Amino acid sequence: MTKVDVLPLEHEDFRDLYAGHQVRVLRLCRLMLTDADEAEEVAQEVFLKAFRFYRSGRRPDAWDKWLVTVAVNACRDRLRSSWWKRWRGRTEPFDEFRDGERIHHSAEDAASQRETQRMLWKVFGRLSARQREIFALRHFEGWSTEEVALHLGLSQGSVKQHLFRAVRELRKGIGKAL
Amino acid sequence: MKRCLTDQSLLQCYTGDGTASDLIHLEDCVPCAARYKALEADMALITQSLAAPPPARRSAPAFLRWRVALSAAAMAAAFVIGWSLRGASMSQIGPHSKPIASAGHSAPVQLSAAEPTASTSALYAAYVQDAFGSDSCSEANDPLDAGCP
Repeated sequence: MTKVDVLPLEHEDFRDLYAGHQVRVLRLCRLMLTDADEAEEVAQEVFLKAFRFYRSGRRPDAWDKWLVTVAVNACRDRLRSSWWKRWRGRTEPFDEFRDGERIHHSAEDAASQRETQRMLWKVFGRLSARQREIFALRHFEGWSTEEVALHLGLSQGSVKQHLFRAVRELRKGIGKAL
Repeated sequence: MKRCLTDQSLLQCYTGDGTASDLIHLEDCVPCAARYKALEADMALITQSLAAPPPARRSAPAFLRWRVALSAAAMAAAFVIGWSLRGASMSQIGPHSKPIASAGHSAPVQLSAAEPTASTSALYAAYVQDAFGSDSCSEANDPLDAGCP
């Protein structure tokens, strides 16, 4: 049961909002932070802010853009503020995936797919925060180059360049994994 | 015929940012079309892999986590020990050098720490008497001198 499930009935709209965007926001946080636990924490913070905003009676033009903007800012804050935590609790990837969103037909396929995922996440984690952000917004959120450039205060050429570098590194990662 | 598309132009075609001329070229050029297919396949694999949660992370072993702090503490301890040992050896040298350096008068330096005592004087007198006889020579008369019997 999530925190949203225990909301009073008069907040039914917010429950729908949560149900409709929770997966997207969580995925965006994972892509920006490359850490599942931190991503869940930040996603909770984002919906808490959204609920306060909602309860105040205000409504944004579009909730999806509002949520993405708040999530991106929250992830940036988390990346900036967690240097001490990261230094102290330095972690290393554990060779195991939690959820089984994978479809494989044999043990060999499963191992190959797991290796590709592991390698791609490793490469993705090595990209700069800006490259990850642009890749996530452009490729997963479906924002146009112009929207991303406007949101980040960059030129469109710069956004294209960042995206190209990110894709180039990820494709190299596929080459290593296969 | 236009030259083949760069990787960046190919990606822009994929993301919908390609120019009209690039898109026309992509339709006509077989190698570029093949590269575009490969790009599509790679992007599908990337999307599928990154849509799944990242691999779980585990904490590094405690020793590795604290290695920087441990190294710094060891260095600090070595420095403190070295400093205290140096201080101890300097305090041993100190009392000998200080009186010589601070001696402001022309008195001869006392090489022996022990003051002559009555017992040593008596022993010396007994030795002289034993070696050179009784009071034939006083201290004023050197027993080796020709005038001394």
